[in-house]
Amino acid sequence: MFTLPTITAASLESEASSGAALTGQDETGLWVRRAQRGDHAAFENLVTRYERTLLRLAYRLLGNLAEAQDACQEVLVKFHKYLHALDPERDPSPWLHQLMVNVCRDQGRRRSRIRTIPLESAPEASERDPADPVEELTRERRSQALLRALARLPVKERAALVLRDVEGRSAAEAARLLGSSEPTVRSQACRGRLRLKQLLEEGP
Amino acid sequence: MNHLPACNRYLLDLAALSAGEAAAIAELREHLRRCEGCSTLLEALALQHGELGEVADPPGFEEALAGLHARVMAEVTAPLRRSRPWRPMLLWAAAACLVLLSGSWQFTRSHRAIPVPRAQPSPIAQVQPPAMSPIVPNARPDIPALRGRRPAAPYDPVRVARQILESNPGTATQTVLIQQSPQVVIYWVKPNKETSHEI
Repeated sequence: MFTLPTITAASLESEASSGAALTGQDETGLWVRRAQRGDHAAFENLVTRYERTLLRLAYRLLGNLAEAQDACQEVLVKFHKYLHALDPERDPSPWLHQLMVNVCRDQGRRRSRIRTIPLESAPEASERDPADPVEELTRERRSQALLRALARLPVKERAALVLRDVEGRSAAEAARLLGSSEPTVRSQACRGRLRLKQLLEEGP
Repeated sequence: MNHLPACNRYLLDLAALSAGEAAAIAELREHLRRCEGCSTLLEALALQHGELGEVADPPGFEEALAGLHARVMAEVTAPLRRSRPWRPMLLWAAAACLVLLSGSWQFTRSHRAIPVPRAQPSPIAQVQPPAMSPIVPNARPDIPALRGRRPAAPYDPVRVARQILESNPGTATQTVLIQQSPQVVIYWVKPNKETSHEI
């Protein structure tokens, strides 16, 4: 019975060296094709490639690491489920990110957690020193404060702000991922910036 | 200096400008030159924009990533080990059985109110050959050998067969038990000419 050889980084390198150099998309397409034929190692490689950015996006959208992990798992399992329908010539990354945004948005709607502060992100009261604002402005604390404030934004504004300002995506790309128009996303991001500043000033 | 209420019309533009979106709006530029509050707000928003772009991963992110990887790979490889291709068929069969049971129950329920006549015993004529009439107790069979004779009661098929044999030597008779119950016993007695030579 014919069995597919398991693809490895070494085999990819040999393929690349034997012919023309593989571009990033070519390499991704190769992994996707292998994964579509049932090669779990190839799928695992794709998971390794996307899981970090997806988990990061999920965390920024949800504000809770455990929930981000669940959402990310849901997206990657769907990635495996619909792998056969993917076009290997196209980068699956936009589709995955769009799926992640949708999953997080649905999860956010279900929880109606607009005004909820995730416990794991909220520092202990003893850790905060309101008399020392310089300490609050250290990079890690500032990041945590920003993420806490982000988690309190309305879902749409939070998604637009995360994609535009945190992820650094263009307005067109953010609009495509959110299934919205560019002007709407720009407007939501602007409102999100103002509201975020207000929330940061109010404190936790 | 605080942002003045009169400057609220510039808020969204300031937010856009802080992210480099609103490139140059002459009116806004002019307002910023005059309004210290809006300038301060723009600076704060621009600072916030920069900080958002440098948000660090939370503590425990790497552990969560490793756990996620393990969970995903375990879930996508699990169906291969627990493959049950017959499961969808089983579900469909169960659904079909359910529909059939439900249908039959409905049918039975709808017909329960109508009185069903009890099955009558089949008439003897239905099991008898069409050429001869049935023999019932106390009824005289139409046998040529017995015509003109007074029938004995009650009817004894063995005696009738004997009489046939006596009056028609060489003629075999066939006695068939048609029905037997505590109340009635029905025999069929007939001359069997086809087998007469064997007797």
